[in-house]
Amino acid sequence: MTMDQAEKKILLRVLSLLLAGLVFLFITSETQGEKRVKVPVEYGNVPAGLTLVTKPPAYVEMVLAGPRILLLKAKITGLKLQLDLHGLHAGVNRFAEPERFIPLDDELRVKTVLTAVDIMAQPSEPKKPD
Amino acid sequence: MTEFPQNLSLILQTLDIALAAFVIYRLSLLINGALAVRILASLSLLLIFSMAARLAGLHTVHLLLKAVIASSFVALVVIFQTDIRLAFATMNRGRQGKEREVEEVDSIIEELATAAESLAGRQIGALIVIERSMSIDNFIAVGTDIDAKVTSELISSIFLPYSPIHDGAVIIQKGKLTRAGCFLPLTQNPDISKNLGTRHRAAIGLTELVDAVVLVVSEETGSISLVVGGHKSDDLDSITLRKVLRKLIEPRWLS
Repeated sequence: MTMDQAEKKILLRVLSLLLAGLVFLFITSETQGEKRVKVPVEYGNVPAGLTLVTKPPAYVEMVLAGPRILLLKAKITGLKLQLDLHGLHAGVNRFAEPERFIPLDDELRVKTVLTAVDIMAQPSEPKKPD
Repeated sequence: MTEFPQNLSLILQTLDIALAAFVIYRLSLLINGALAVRILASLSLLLIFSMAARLAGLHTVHLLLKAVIASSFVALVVIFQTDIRLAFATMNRGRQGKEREVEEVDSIIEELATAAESLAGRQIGALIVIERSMSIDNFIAVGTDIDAKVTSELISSIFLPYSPIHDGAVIIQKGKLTRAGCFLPLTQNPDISKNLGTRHRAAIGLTELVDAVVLVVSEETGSISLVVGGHKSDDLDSITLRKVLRKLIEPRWLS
């Protein structure tokens, strides 16, 4: 066997291993998986005349489900929960489905929300005239 | 307690990849070396691009690449069906069959080397093409169909100056001398020396396109050269010529 042929065989072995690894990754990346994530919360549109007594939590912990590659993408790009509080009323406001406020890939879904998003608001005190 | 299933899963995944790599490697051996490297590299790149497209959210590109990957495995089986069929046929042959094949190869190599030496001794030019895994049919022009057993006498007589088919190349396919007087494509490589004769240029030209082995006997110097993959080995002596031919020609290409 010439050196050239020996080198080719080594190269073939390396490429076979690389291809096998990539096929494995390709298949695994498309399988369904779950991931627990902490999503930072941002909020806005607080109605005029209302003051937040209890602010939304800084992070909401949830379990995401979907193709593993999209879970990885979500982890890399980072998720953000943007609460729109325009419909807030005085008293305790419970967001039963906070995941509606997260822009997610079509194939990803929120399986469980582990942190409750409760916001307490009260009417602002009218400014006293000087 | 949870470590054991996790370790088991890791072992199984490693085994999975290793077995897949083994299967891919064995399959790639059925195809010509350089071509197999190109195919494996292309498939790897396709997989990488497909995953990158998925991560980047390029849905159309991802879908397109996924379809290409899925169909490429079927396409490869169709393209290399002859090699695969041959490999399976060889697999089923016993040790005796293999020994017989090796003997056949040795006999053909002996005939080729004897003919080359005889022609070189009389300074008669010759050009002998030995087809390997890639078909050369699309690259050879004109020629006379022969379909005969490879013998040194036949090859020598074809290249004798008064033979009507002494110009051009003799083709050996599947262990048989199939054609003579064939014209081969000349190399267009500008780096090749201008002093090189037409036979050598033709040998280099053909081997740049296919994986055939070409044996050239120079009319001017009486030296014997072997050309593979566009590269030429000159001034081969009797022992080296036989040794190199045995390395380059595998039984599966002669049966």
